[in-house]
Amino acid sequence: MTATEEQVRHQQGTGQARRIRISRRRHGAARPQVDEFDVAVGPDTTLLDALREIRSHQDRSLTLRYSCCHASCGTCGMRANGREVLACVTPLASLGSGPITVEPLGNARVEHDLVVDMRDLYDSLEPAGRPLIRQDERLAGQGGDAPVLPFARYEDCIECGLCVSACVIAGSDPAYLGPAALAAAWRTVTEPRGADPSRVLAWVDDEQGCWRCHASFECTEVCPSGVDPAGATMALRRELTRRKLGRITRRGRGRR
Amino acid sequence: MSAATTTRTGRPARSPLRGAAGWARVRGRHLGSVAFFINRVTGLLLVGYLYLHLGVLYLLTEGQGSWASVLRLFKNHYVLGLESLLILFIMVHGLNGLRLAVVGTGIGVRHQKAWFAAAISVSAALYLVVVLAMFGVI
Repeated sequence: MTATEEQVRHQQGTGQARRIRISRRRHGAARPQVDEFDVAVGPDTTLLDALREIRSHQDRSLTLRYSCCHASCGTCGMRANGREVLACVTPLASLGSGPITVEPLGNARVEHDLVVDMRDLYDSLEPAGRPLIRQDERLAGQGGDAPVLPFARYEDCIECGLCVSACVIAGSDPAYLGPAALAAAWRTVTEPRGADPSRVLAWVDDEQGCWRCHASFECTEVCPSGVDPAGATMALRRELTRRKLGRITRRGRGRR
Repeated sequence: MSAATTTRTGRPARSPLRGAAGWARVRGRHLGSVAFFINRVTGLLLVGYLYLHLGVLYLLTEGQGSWASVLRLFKNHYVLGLESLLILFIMVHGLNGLRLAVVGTGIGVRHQKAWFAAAISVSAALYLVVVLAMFGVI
């Protein structure tokens, strides 16, 4: 038993019961269904603690994804009471006092219960050139020609998909690049590291790119890493506007 | 463990609001989404009003009597109340649109909530003045 599990058990001994309603979709099922669980919790119990407790003692078939338990891996993203959260760092106490409704992330295909398909998100980041990797933090001795992918630290964005889930436009237009890809694009523009920012700017300068955003700022509100995808999107627009106006001004000067 | 109980309700889960319906998602949303939703609702209402306005203008072609009856209708207090709402919608949509134009080009992005609060405050203050003037209080 890990320290966390022991802690949860200790809390459960003295805690109160919370009802957790989970929206569950079986693989291939047309519609999700609701299952309710009462879990004994303590003052510091997180949503992930409660879900693990359910999986361990009430329903082994509950499918969820998690790994690091400290908001670094970005795998336990889900919606609790309609809000996008990382379950591992969300105390139940922060979710009000009534029953807690847990759903998988939005704007992504549900694989099973609380697990969604993240491939669209990862694919959307590729054209930006994955600028999130901090090249100066590779482990010593690891080169680009290593047989396995070298260790590298991702900068800020943990690719959890919370921003895409919260985005109202990603929900109404699947062709939209989305806040995560736009934030990655802005990283490349601000810190190209040999990449060509013009190529990335041309990629986002599209009706489905940074101009498609309708500025609801939900992506920035839910981001657990302070990436500010909405700010990045607006910065891309500013940069594109500046370049286009510069081009017009230069053309005007050339005519004189 | 005494608290552990499981209930399989068999109840279908609420489908997430998708498409344009997702615009109206309120639960768990923040101020930016409220501004987004308000701008859409007021925009649609103003488009609806435009057609109503064109319809009313068409009555000009029906002669003086027809137009006089329209003018009498416009003096009705209920219609005046609706007219004042029209002005409120124009101000909210216009000022929030200005906020979006400014923020959308990367200016003052971090202050978008304050911009919205200012847009709503100015709209509310002007609306109050308009209503008082419409009903002859000032």
